[in-house]
Amino acid sequence: MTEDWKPFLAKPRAMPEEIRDQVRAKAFGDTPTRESKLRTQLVVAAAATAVIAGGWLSSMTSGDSNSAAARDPEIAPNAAADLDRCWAALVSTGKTDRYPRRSTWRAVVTAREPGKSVIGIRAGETPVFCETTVTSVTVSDPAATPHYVEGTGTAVTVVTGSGSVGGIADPTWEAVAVEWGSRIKLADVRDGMWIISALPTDATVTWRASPSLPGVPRREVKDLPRPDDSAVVVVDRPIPPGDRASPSGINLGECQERTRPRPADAQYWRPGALTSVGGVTVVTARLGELVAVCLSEPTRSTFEVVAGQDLRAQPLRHVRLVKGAAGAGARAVGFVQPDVTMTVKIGDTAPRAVPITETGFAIEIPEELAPKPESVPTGVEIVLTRLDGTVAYSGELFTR
Amino acid sequence: MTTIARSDQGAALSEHTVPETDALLWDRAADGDRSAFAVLFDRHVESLWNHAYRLTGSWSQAQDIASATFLTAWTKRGEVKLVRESALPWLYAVAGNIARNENRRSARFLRAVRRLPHDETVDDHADSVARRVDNDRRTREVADAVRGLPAAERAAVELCLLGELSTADAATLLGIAEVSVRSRLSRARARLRKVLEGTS
Repeated sequence: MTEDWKPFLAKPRAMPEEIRDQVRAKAFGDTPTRESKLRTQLVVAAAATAVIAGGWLSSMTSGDSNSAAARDPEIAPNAAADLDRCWAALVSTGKTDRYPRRSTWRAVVTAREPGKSVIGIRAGETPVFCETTVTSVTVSDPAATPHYVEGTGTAVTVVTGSGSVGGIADPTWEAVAVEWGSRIKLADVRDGMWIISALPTDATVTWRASPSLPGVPRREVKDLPRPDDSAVVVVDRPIPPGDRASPSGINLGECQERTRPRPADAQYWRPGALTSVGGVTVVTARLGELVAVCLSEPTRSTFEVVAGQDLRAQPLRHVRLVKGAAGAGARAVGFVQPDVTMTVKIGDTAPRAVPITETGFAIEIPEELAPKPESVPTGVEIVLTRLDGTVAYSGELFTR
Repeated sequence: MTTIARSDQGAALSEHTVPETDALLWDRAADGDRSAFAVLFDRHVESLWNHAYRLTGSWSQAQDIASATFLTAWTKRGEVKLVRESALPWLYAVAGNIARNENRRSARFLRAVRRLPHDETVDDHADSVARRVDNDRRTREVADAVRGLPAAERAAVELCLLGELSTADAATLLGIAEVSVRSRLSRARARLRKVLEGTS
């Protein structure tokens, strides 16, 4: 599209560090700080983070009983395997007679995040939605009455327990934007179907929908109704529930309970490292090859799956700086490969062992090393040692 | 994962890892997490700065626009429109609005400035000064020509021709049909050719 304009366009330049610093100083120096009694700051400082796309997708089954989808670059490559799993769940519950036969299923739109996949399916001409998680499958009821946005052809068909939402899109809508409170998310829309993988589902939250975003002239926003709960839910890959009796388990359970939407497979996550700083409590968690961080503040909690399928890819991953109230110091929270031990040396202090639970760890960081939320602490040196005594990593926990 | 820390280490340790998505980062930023916003800043500031230069033909203005764009992005972080998981198209659109407002305010000033030698703030030892000045002049001519387009065409040109976004992404961002973007670009190309060929 732009080839013929290349001669008119200035070639991009590498941005000099001093210019970057000046822009940063102006942009951040003027950035107003949110009026919050307790502002939690997470400085993401890991080597590289979640395999949300490439590794996640490529490491999963690529069975192909849906060749059209497999050739479609907009459809996740393992969608066919997910369709099979969705159908198998219906078979296991004896409800296949309510659905068009499997051979007519075609993946139309997909949304993925670590630990969860949502697919909009044309089963014959019938729209069907299926969510798969580590342990379960949820399939929408094809006979359920769509709940339409008043005066439009856009409707909601299904909402799952973990906040996946699917529906049909008015053909005149180029996009489906769903708002609640002051937040907004754009749905993945294709071929008359739309999906969003996580919306808050509390009864007190009102959803509104629009075909455009704020700023578009004559923008119309209308209430988006909730559908009935008629989906088929099957736990097809059961595993033992995670501990909820230990301090970290109790904290994880409480943190998940306050998270909106509730995390997928919430009860199966196993608690890891637990730490608190300045009124903020953080607990790491693991579910098979997934790891997550659950953070509790006085007014809210967030649960974030930070990685999937790469637990052994590198010794140290997803290190964050958690900072509560000013002056309270900070905590570094992160994950290591399975089966390594860890020691930390901060400044001139003697090295000490760091407990690792379910691959998660937490380290206290003195305030002087992290005076600001965006500070990158230096002088925090760690050593990761494998069971055979070889060193997996030795160096700064945070590097610039 | 982030330009703040350990990014090179991570690349060395695993070739199968990918950065945290804009969507995840922006979700955290929307909740007030300034450090997540800092990661987005580091990820996109260079592209944005180059885009702002194409919008204005001035590196100093590009610097100001880049700062103002991120400042605006922070204040409007709850309204961000991610296009295929990227915040960059939306940042381009914000930069375009800022550049237009800036130009309206200071059009007279800019007309005067353009008669003067350009204030070059970026050293580039690979280019000769003469070539650089020529490039700046050419970029300003393009920027001026784009500024003279009707508003609808200008928005499409800024995103697709200057920002090199796809027409589909621009359509999503502008909330219009892709075919509309294409027709706007087609009309704009004709106008721009006429103007730019006249200045060559």
